[in-house]
Amino acid sequence: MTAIEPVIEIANLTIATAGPGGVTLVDDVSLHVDAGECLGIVGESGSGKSLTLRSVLDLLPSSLVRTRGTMRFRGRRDEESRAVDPRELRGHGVSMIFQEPMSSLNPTMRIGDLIAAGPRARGVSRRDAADRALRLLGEVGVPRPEQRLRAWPHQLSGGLRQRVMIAMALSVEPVLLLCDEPTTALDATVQDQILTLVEHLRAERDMAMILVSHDLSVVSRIADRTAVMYAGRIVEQGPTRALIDDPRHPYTRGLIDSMPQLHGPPVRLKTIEGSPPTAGRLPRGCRFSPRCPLVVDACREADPPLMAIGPYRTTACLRHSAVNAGDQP
Amino acid sequence: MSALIELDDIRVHYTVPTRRHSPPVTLRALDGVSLAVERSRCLGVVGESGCGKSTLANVLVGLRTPTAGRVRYDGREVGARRSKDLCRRIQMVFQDPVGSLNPRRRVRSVLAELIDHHDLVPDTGMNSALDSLMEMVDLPPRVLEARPHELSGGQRQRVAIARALAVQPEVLVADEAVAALDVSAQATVINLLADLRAELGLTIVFISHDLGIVRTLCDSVAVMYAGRVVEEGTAEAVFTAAQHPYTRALLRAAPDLHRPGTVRRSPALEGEPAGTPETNTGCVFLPRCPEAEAACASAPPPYIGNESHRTACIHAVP
Repeated sequence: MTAIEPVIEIANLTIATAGPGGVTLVDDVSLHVDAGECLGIVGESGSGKSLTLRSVLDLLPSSLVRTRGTMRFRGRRDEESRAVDPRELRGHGVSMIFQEPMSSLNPTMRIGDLIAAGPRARGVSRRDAADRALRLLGEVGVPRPEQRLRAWPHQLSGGLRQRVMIAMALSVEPVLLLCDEPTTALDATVQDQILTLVEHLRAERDMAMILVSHDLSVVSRIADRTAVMYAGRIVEQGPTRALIDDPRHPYTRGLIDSMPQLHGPPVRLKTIEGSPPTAGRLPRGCRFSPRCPLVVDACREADPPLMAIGPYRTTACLRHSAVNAGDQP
Repeated sequence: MSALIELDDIRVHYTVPTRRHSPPVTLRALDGVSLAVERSRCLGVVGESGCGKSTLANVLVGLRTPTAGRVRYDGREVGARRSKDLCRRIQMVFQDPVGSLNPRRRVRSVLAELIDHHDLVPDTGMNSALDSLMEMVDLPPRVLEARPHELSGGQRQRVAIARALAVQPEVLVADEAVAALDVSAQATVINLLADLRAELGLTIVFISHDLGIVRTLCDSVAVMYAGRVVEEGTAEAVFTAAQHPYTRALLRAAPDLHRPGTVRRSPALEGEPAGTPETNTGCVFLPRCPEAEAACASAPPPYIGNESHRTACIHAVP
């Protein structure tokens, strides 16, 4: 790893519900993404993965507030890293694509105008913005782009809408692309197409990415590094391959074991006992301790901090060396 | 042994109005589907949106009367109006338990009403019947006093399964029954279905877009595309020796956890599922097929193979 600073660095992000007695939903999350790197964030509903992502562009619902946390953004290679306010980044270096391509596209605007809107807002001439929209539509694999420029969002299929959303995101030439469950609403073969496209675009443009998904297998396909979130905290982080082959948090292990496998003979799924805690009613000590097969008394005393356990690897588990050893207490 | 459920050339056609002054269009949601499910077996039905898999589920439970074709249950032909007893024997578990459970009623009253309706247990035995139902789906008895919104997603889906089991069915039709659940809750519900099948000898038709789940749970698989079954056979045969180009693409498209970072130049399959066409003169998969040739356009391909594995593709090897 070079001494170059990361594209984005988020430190101690904490998000809570607004008002007195606010419930903490995201607790002290720190992460960074290097230039051209893809960071995956995996977790189940309510783990705080989408909130973490949305806070990068200050897209939190008004009922939630960022109570703590700083963000540094570097931009292009020749730029210096500086502290930023999330709002500065919208359309200036950071773009986002969402899960629901229908509700995220303005139904009263034609495709061409939707894609040109970003560049137009930055002072690009009408003609240049239209040219850019046409070129981008082609780049994201929309067939017959000249005709599609005049189409309305409702006339397109789910896969094409998601391609249009990617073209919109790329229209402002982002350094960092945020993806919130980009393929969850899509069919299997279309998901595969969109993931292939995103991989291709990232390599071509040397773009950094954060990919949030509930599906570890989607994240594993493109993320270089993966962070696993549970009940508002990152519980494990590491290079994707290492994390899957040798998980060091019992929750990660549980997630992997509970996924049905397509290849090889069918096996009975292993499950994680119980269900995730409700925000505001967290257990004492480690948040995973009531469900953990490796729990010991020390786990119930204090929530373990993230500890470095190897190159680029951290885990918030006191018993991380036992996760793969197979020795039950 | 003859099959418990037999579908013979089932067609469901919808007439859809188009613009004013234009003739309506016929959509072929199911276009000649023949399938057989043996008692105590689990059939997985896979395919993408619009392939007709949910219509198939509706035909099985009697929510939709086919336009043409025959449904036989336990050797007897099923008419358009089903008897109360036949309705009881084939039960459905829906994808979204929030939408399929009455939010104003406690679990106890939902389940008791069904048991009452079919006169399955005497009034004095109701409490123990409900308790054993809860035990069957691994829920604590206190869930009986809860309303659906007080339960987690996984618990609600268990209640939905309990609702289906309350009337002692022989067949469970599960339409994307675990698709809305988180991974860990999903695994417990899949295991529950596997256990129920083993304990009660239930026959399960499991409709899903997730090939991994079907591989885990089912002994046979039918792959659907645009209203037709394009490949069908034992799970072992279909998953390890897929013949149809569509099945092979589906298998390639599924991301594999244990092969991360497999960067591919091109996607497994171009185009999108087109839904069900108005007329089927040739192979339904033709517009997206990488192996298509002239002969594919002239007539629907016949099934090649045998009972344990058949494929509707002219390139299939028997």
